[in-house]
Amino acid sequence: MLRELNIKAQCDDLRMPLWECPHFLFVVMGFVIIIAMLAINITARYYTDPEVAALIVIAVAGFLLVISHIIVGAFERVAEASRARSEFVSIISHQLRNPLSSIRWQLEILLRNQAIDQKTRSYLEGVNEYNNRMAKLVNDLLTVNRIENNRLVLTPAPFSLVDLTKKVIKDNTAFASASHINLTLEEKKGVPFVYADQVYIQWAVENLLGNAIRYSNPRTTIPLTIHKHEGYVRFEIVNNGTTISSEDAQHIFEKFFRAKSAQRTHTDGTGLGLFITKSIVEASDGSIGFNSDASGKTTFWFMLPRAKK
Amino acid sequence: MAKKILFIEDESALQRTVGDLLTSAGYMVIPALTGDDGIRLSMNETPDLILLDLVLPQKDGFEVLTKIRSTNETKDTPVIVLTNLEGSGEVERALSLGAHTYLVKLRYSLDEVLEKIKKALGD
Repeated sequence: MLRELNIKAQCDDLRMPLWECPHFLFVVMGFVIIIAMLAINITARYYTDPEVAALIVIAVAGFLLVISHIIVGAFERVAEASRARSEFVSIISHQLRNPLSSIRWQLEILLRNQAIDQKTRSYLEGVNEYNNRMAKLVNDLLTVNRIENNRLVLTPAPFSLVDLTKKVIKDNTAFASASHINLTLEEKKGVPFVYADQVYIQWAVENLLGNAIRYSNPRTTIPLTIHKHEGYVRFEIVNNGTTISSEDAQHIFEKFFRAKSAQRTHTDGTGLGLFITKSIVEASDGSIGFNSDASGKTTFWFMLPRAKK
Repeated sequence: MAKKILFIEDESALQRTVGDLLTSAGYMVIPALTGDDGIRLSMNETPDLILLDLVLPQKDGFEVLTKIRSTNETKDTPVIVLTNLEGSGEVERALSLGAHTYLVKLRYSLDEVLEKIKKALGD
């Protein structure tokens, strides 16, 4: 609250000098209006001549015009800075993607070679894992950039969330068994198709499943359920691990936010996954949420509109 | 007779990697490193399929695609765009210009790319 009143600090945040900063200029404008009203009042007592009042009004209007012109300019500069920043992210990410995809594909060919010895293979697999992690980060940054510029274009169509989830489970089985975690899908009968963008929803499911595996205690089971819920299809995933504190709960879907418990145990996260997941689900006219109890049981869920028959 | 694939891509590392993949899958690969080469080879070689990057020296991928579609010999040849550009505008533009499929390199494994190529060729 106090910070909002501190105009200097806000202008510093925008990296703008005081006389060019919209926050400061609005306050100046307010003062000018108050002083002008007082001046009109006072002069009206001594001068009955309407021309004097008219002159004051014209002078004040002229002054306000100048200030508002500066304010508009300031807003344009703020907008320009934000556009330049997102363009920067976009160009950098694209430049990073080309070498990353080259490395990925060359490793794929190398790893196919049955003749390489075990040690070399394990080194190459290590490189591959780091490369994939970097690729995911770059892809996530581009997606975040698109979300923030309202350029997330979804192409919805009817598809089976059950089949998609089965595929994601299959792709993650090896990752889960490394921590002796078991993945189960409870499939209720007659689950209708959902109406959403399959590619993006797959990322959402991958993010939630990836998190569940990462933050589960070893040797536990992660049950997934998909069922019909009025006009929606509801997806749920439960894991047993660390409780999300109520303090962290408020920020869990924010960009770059990472829960304190997660920072301690998993240093490689970026805090982008849940932000992207929420943005995708909400852009698909769905909703998302979670609850976490003291025993460490955490349930993440989302609902997507069912496809019309 | 092996099917011919024209691969228009300016990065030589990718030319080698994808080229090896396609050759070992039994295809004949014709590499082109610039947009102009791509257009010339598409007319001279009449490939069965064209793999096209969008960021290219001289003419970019969109210009190449427009030219391919307006040339009689290649107007029906399937074109798979293989790029790392992923703006919504780019995807829509490439598809409306007549690209068969749009693949973002960093989102696919080589096997998946090969799968898409085979599908487009009906193999």
